[in-house]
Amino acid sequence: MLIQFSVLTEHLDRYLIGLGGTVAASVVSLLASFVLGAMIAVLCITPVKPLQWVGTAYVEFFRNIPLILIAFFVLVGVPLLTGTVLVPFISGLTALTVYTSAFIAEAIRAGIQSVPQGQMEAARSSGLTYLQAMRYVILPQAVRLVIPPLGNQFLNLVKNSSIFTVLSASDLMYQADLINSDTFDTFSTYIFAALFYLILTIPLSFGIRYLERRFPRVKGVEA
Amino acid sequence: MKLWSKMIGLSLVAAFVVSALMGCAKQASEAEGTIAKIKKQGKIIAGVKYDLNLFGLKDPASGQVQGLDIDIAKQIAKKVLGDEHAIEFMEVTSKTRIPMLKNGDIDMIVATMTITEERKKEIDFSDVYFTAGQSLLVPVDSTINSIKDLTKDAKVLTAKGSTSAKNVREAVPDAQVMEFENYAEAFTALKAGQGAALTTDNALLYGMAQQDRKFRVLEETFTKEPYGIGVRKGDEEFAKLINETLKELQDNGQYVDIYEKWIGKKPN
Amino acid sequence: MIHFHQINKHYGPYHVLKDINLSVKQGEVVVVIGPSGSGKSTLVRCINRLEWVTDGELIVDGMRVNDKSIDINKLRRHIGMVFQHFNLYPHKTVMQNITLAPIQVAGMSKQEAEEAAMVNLDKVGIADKANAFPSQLSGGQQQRVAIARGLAMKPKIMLFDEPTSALDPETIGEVLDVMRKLAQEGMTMVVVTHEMGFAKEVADRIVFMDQGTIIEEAEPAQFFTQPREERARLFLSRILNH
Repeated sequence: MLIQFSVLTEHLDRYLIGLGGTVAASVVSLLASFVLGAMIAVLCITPVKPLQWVGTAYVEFFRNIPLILIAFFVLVGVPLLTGTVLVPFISGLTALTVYTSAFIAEAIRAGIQSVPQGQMEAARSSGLTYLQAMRYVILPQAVRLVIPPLGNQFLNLVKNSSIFTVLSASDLMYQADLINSDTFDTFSTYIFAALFYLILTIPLSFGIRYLERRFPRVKGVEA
Repeated sequence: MKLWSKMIGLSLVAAFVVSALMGCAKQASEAEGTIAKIKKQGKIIAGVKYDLNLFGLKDPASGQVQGLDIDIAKQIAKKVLGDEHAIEFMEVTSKTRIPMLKNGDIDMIVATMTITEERKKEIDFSDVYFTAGQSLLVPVDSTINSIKDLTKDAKVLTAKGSTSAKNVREAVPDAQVMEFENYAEAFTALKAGQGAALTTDNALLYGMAQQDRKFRVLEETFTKEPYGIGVRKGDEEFAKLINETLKELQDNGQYVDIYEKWIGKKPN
Repeated sequence: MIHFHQINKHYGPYHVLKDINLSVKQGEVVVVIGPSGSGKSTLVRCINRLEWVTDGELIVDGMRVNDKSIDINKLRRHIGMVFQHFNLYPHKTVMQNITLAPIQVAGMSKQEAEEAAMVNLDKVGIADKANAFPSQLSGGQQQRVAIARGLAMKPKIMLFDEPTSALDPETIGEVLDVMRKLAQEGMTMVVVTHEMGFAKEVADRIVFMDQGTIIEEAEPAQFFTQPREERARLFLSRILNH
């Protein structure tokens, strides 16, 4: 038997500790990267050029380097540069949030900008302020366009949280690594780790599908 | 609901296909015997460290791996195939070395591996070829001078898959142990102030202290770490040949030369 | 009501409006015609500052439009606008499309805004579609909703930017009928259109533009029978012989 169930039963406590770490990391980072990503997206579409540059630079920088480099930078570079040592869990959260928010910003920006220009013009010409037009006209349409790419980002975020292991922060992957070094049964250890990831991601995946059905893309009025 | 069962079914099928493939690879190497495999491929594939000063360190300029482990491994190649260059080095970490040996990716592990009862269940070991002891690497100005000085809040860094984490937990049950991918990362984290001390065998710590004079190694050791060469479980023929090699090196004085060349002093 | 005085507008290297002088009096219906790319849409879009003018003075309803310190949203409340592509909000019902600005901008109660909306929907002849979504309506119906939306804030001026150009021929008439009714009620209107029949019948004045310049300004009877300028003659012969 290649898969040893004893690996699971004997180390269930560690798997669960790891699962807890991964859930905590995912939930916190999901919220934080959504807020940060939305803010960066606003920078990207603002009419003020220097702010646009800042937003675009952020997106292009962080989504084009590997997450593991960001993680190391936060773990090692930040203390060396600033003298502040972040505990590994916080380092991991920071890296994951900074990285994911770049993708989320891009998804939100693309969503907002794919709402036709005429919508903004119609709203503004009826006397709505820019923010009112955003709130009542643009964003409700953008949300529907943004749900599928955001869903993908959130799934990626859960999986990417496995970066925590290289920072020695306790997540599912870290605990699996430690279980592996006890059992030497690499195959079983990581098969069970994969199962725990699926327990998290499959419901999430179905949740996203539900939202997509709940908020279908509105058909444009133009051809 | 249908999709659920379909997905679970698919995952199981995938898992079994992978298992079956891995099973085949494993059986092949077991049946053959390592010496026959080595002779057939014309070289020994040795799993060694690439990131450990003094034992197995890859020189980025020359691309050569150098160290005490490397020199010992070459002598084994000489014994089996008559040529100390009939050897290929493959990088392993504390985490990967046992799985790689079991899968047949490598023929032996010469990678500062401590002989333990737990590991003996998985693989066989040669006789001891080096005896180290676990100690602590701390900043030069640290107040830690003994393992007893580690306080409850002190974070101790080490690498995953090594015995060091277990040993330090036994010696100081309160210690917070942080395990990194390898010693280079753990050392970088120490430099960045992520912990108070790095723990592993003193032989490795001396190498790190040589690289960065801002750190020192404690005199005290709190374990005995006998290093052995790992071979596949049940491969007595190959283990015996390695033991003969080690004995010859001791007898003809070559071992002392190798030891002195890397550690800088004669063995006790 | 609307005064253009020496208005110029540049888009980068393009000089899209050149020395425009034009006045529109209260209750007047001015129809702007001309070949595509002549700047007529830009001219209309300057009136509620969807486009900024580069220089010159533009006064609408007593406000200096190109002055940054004015409250542009206050000006826009009094100007309804109808677009070529309707620009209805696809995620909102007809009723919500019409009541959004009255509720959010004018601070009307929902009930008040809906009652007013029904009056306007009645006027454009589709009161029965109040709860439909735009995607459920024909092009002509959508454009009539857009007109009702433009009227919702009780505007002093209505701007029409090629309101029938995106419509199927059979639905053009119903939209023009609504516009005709508005003109008869005394609404001040600036209309960019290619519908020469409508222009001839409804306009108080025709403004003919080409290459960013107003070439000719005349009453429709005179313009369509005896245009003064050669370019206007050429344009009319091309468009009327089609």
